[in-house]
Amino acid sequence: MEDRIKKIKEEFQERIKNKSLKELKELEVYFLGRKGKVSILFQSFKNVPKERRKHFGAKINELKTFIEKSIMAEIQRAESVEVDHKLEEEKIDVTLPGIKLHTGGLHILSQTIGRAEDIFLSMGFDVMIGPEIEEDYYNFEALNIPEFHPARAMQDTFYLSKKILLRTQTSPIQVRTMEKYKLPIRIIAMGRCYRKDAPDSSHFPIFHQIEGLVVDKKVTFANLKGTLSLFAKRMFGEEVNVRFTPSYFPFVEPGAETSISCVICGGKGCSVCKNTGWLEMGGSGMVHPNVLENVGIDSEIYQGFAFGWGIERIAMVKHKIPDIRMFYQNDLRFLEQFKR
Amino acid sequence: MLTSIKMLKSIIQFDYTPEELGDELSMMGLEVEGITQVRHRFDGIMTGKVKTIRRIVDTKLSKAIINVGNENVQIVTAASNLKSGDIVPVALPHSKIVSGADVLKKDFKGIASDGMLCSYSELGLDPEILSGEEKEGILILPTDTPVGEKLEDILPIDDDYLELSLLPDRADAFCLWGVARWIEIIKAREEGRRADFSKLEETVSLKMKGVTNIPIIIAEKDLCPFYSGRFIRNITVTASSLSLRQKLFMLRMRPVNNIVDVTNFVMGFYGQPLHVFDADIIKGKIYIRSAKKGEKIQTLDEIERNLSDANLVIADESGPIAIAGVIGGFKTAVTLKTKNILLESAYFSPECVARSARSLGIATDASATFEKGADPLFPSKASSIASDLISKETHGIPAKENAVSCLTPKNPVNLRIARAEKILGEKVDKKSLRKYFNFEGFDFTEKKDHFMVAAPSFRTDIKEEVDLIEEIVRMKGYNEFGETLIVGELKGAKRTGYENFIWDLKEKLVKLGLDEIQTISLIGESSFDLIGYTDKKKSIKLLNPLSADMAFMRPLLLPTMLSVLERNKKSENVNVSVFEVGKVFCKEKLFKETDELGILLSGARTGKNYLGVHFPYSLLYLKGLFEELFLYYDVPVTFKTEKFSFMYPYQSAGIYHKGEKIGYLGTINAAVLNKLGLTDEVFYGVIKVEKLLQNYGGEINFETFSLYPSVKRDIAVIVDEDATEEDVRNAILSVAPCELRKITLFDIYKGSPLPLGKKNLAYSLEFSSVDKTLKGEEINKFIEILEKTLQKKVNGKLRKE
Repeated sequence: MEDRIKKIKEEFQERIKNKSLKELKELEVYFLGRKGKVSILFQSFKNVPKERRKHFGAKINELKTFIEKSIMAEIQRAESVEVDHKLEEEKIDVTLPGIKLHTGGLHILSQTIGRAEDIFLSMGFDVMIGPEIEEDYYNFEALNIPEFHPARAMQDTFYLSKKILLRTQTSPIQVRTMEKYKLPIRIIAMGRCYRKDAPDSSHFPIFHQIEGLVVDKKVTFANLKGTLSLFAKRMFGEEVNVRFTPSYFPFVEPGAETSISCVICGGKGCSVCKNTGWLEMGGSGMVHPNVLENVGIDSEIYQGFAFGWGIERIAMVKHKIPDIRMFYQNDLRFLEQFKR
Repeated sequence: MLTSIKMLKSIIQFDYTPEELGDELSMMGLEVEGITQVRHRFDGIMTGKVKTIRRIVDTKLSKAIINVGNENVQIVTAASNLKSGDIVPVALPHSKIVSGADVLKKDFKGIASDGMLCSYSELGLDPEILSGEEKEGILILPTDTPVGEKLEDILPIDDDYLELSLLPDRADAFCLWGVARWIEIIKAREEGRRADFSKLEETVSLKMKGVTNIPIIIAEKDLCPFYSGRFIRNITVTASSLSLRQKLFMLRMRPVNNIVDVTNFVMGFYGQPLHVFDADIIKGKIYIRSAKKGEKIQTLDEIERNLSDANLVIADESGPIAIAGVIGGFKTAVTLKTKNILLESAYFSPECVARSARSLGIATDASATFEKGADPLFPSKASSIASDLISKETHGIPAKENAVSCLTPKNPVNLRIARAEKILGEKVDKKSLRKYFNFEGFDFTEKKDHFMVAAPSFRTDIKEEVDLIEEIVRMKGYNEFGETLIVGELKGAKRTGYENFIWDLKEKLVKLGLDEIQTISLIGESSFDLIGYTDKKKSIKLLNPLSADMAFMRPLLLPTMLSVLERNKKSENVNVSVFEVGKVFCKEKLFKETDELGILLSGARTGKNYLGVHFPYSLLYLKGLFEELFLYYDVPVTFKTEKFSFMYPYQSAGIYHKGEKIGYLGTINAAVLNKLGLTDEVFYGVIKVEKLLQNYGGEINFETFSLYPSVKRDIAVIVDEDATEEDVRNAILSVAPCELRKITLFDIYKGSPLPLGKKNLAYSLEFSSVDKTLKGEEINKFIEILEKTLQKKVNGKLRKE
């Protein structure tokens, strides 16, 4: 009996090696089935003397447990091999390109406007808008530019009728705001403007302007410079500096042209800044008392500063865009570059 | 304005390089945009005098004998502007002209030529002020030019010119003398002393004979506060002397004759416009008065002009003889025969000249100068300077001037120190103010807390207190001020509600996969033709367009959006899905501007790929985008089939909200696409932005949702083929219980086994209740009612499996 048990175990150990799932099932029947080798062993149990039965019973049960566990383990192993085979058949080349779904994006001008607005909002400036078709009064006269002022020639203006025009600047919004809102005022005026400039790489008859206006009791020339300097640093980087040069705009006095240190060469001089180290960004100055008086603000009590920068110019400097016309051509190869 | 460094140095001494001078002037407010270097690029050119000149028979050439000092040379020339006695530049053999070519001895059909005569062009000189004829003709030098000298010693050719770009408040610097005055200020500031302009002035001792015995009557004293007339008798009008020509050369002015040249010189050098009348043609007295309606004048350019009361004129007994400060009259103009002249030197008010010039559409150097603001105290001095020069050039005899002045002395300007400090945000001390005003040569009296300042008369920019505050900044230095931040109330800054909405809208559209574009709001007539636009009467035309293709304010977004598409398709960008939020304009009673949102689609959202999943744009995709917006902004709309000139008739619809048309969409028709060379389908839709706004900004309140399982039921409805889906859907909704949460159309089918003329619409219905689990019977009851309703409302049948 001992021998038989040993032989069966040996046979089992021999046959279980490297079997498929199906073969394992067959093996299970062969050994443990109703007519399997182990069952037969149990049947021949009656031939064993009584006193040895307990001993052999334990041995056979041990064999049965051993076979059961071994087969179970092998089945699990075979199953996982089989699953793996199946999965392998469904293999995906992970180096294949993903399927591209088109996503949208804001125009770079909108992005620049949004950025500029956010910076000024953080400094407590309200954002104002106004009409593109304006009255001569708001675009010129209220801004200390009467009908025959030579400064009118500085801006070639599109007219719709004798007294109606396309605004050449967003300053009319400033006047409208001063008329309508309570002091103190701290705003930026944002929008599309028109000038009769023949298109070239740096001029276009349509452009966007961001203008600022602060009117309060103690707003100074030093505040103007501080404000523009902070804006320039937030927009172009902390290393950027602001410089004033004398200039003339009838609605401000003193008036200044504002430049920033060249963001391309860091002020050393390059072709973009024409070797000056500086890039002109726009005009600024202290609001002329006449402008305040025109809207009924007492210029002895209140004073203020104003500035106006071009959005296209800001975007061109910030992103090194060489030609202003590109903004309005809307070539997707251009627009796509500014998607974030 | 080009300003000669050589000429500046002739009146003020300085050691700055042209670049340094440019920087200094720029920081004073005279912007120097660049520096033009002129160097002679020829060699060995001599002055020579034409002894004889004869046409060579049967040719266009002439043979000239030229004296070049020690010898005579024979030169063959094609020039036609020469006569004997003329002094000309001669390029002898082996000299170099500007093209770099060596001049050689030549032989013209047996006639030897010992060099060539030169034109302005061949010398590379000052081309822009000359006409083509003058540029190409031989340069004829003044008769007092020495013969046999090197040309570069005769004409001040080698020079540097400042390219000044002056703003209107620098009226005092629009002449060479004015620039020199600013150099004096720069030097005074550097050396810490008072500017002294007197040393820049030329002293004139004018020899006069007789008086200007013509009465001058000023009727408009505000418009013309000063007028000086002076007779100069017995003049001879000829070409100018070499010394005057040299001056004009440096001022880059074109020589005409001695009278014109003198007035041009005084204008360019001293900034005083002058006018000269032929005194023998003037009848009776001189009046300075407004023109009467109906009066006419033929001006120097031989154009007859109708005058109005906008024009101040100089008139004699016969009528206007000049438009004051703008242009002279033809009748009284100086000619070669003129013997006696009346020299006008006056001050006209800026507004008077601006109105007058603008009303006639003329702009001259004189009008530009007066418009900006000339020096009101200079005309008398200018008359002396000009008379002196004219007498030297023409041998005429000047008389004593007849000057009429109604000038009132200019009041000094008050500067309060505290005010300056308040504006500038920095301490301003009296010592500095004294220094600054001295640098600029201002006269001032100092009081306890203010200064009374009198600027020189040419400083027309100093009118009020703020102007002096600007001078403080100028003299201290624009960049010598600190940078400080505003101190003020914290208010909580914001965008306007409308602008917030526009940003929200744009962001929503980007989330929907669209690219924002910004197109130009000016279009041409051809854009109207392209889309068959007929509402032209309402469109706004510019009075002064830049070009025909930008003559109108766009009444709709489509044309410029289509040209963006056209451009992109040409650049092989085949998939275009763009939107624009922009203004459109129309003329009703007033000019009106409204914001519109346009969406344009062509190509596919997902292009062809290896999975074979292609997702082309379609009209219903476009509709889906709009529906998403209407849902998002809570604006219920209906779509109604409509016709448009630029879209296919059965593929376009108007969009209605509460019966009002708020937009439309459709498929652009082939007629439009063909004109643009486009082949792919294009879908376009537009909506009035303000209509989306009305519900924007409301609070969002939580709504409870069902925690019980939902019940799904699919139904199939067979209806007539031309029944609209909307009708079928509405029929279902009309009887649906409140538990119907979602209705989805998932299939449309026509064909066998359905009878001809029928279609099958399959819907998936989803029911759920917030307070119970729904039972089958409740749904079945609804289906029963639905069957009858469909039959009644849309002639439909529920299909049963």
